[in-house]
Amino acid sequence: MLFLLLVFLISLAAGLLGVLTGLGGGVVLIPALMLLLGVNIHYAMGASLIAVIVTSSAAAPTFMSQGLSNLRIGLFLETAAAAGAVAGAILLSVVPSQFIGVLLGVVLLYSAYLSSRQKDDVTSERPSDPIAVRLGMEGEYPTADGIKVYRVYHVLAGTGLLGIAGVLSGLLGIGSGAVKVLAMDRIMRLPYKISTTTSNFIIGITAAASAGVYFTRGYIDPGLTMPVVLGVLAGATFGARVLLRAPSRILRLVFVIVIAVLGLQLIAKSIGIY
Amino acid sequence: MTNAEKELEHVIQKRMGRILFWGMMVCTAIILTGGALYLSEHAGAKANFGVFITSQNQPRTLSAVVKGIVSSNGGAIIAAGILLLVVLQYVRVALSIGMFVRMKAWFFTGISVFILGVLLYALIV
Repeated sequence: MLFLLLVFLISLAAGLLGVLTGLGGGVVLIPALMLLLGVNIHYAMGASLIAVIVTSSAAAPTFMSQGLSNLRIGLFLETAAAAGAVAGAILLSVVPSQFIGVLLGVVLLYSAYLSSRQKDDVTSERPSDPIAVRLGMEGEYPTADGIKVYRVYHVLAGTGLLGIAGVLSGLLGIGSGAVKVLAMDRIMRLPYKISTTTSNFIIGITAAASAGVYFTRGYIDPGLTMPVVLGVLAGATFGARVLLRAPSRILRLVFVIVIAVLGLQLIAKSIGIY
Repeated sequence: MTNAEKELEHVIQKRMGRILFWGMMVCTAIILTGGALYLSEHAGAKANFGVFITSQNQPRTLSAVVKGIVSSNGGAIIAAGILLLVVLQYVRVALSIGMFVRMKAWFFTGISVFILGVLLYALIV
């Protein structure tokens, strides 16, 4: 009972963090379950994959009713992510779990780096990528100075990166929110809030692409996944409501340190020096 | 996009959000029910997730889940709730197809159909 309560509390924190940072939660959940509670990496990955689906589904209604998620951009990018996720899940059977541990650690460190940077939205006067114009991908979003139109750049480069995000998602049981936000925020130059909410819309679909493989391989244990689902649901629901007030710099710094420490510990554990 | 189209897209998105919300509620209720049963079945048992055992008594096929539900096994009911959560993602893509058809956005209709195809393909690999 105490064990399940601890799993619930860790998942609550992961769900909150996942929504607030746009990272999806899984990337924090797996190392936390492994390092704090000694859960095996496969069970942690299975529970995390479902947690990604929960985070995405719980926050989506809030974001969608505010018109923040750009479905056209999201689904266009998801074609690459879903295909990548299936490939990643197939690769699982040939990749050793130490390698998966190290890879996850690297993704964590990278996520920490990404979250530590300032998120200033740069508005550019250059016209959008012709593909984006043709497909009607540009949108509007609320800012302090009223509704603004945002432009969309480098659609194909962003899509390629989403393919990689998909492979990582299938291979690690995470939402790869960090890579998705990077593609949309840095490469396609979408406003940060549009990137995180659009990423949130598609991570659930990407995770669903590898869920079948995870289920039949026995990664998804009902006993462990139950408190994870409930905890993440509570954390993500709350997180989506407070996202409009972006987290303060101190809070962000705490996130970065937690994520970086987990990443280093995971790498150390995976190569056997911890 | 014209303003009327934007308005339509926003209205449909809101509706999709509501469907997702209620879908989540149903899945959560099922998982809570299964969870309560699971806890009563495993009362006093020590949690052990340290070692990955594939032969563990855990439903891994659809028929095992159905059998488990019939015998009101807590773990199988939780698994059913989890599988419904996955199915909800398929619904999300299907609803997007519906939205783009209504907006006569054929390119995005095709894209959404492709994604649904990938998800269905993933079930048979």
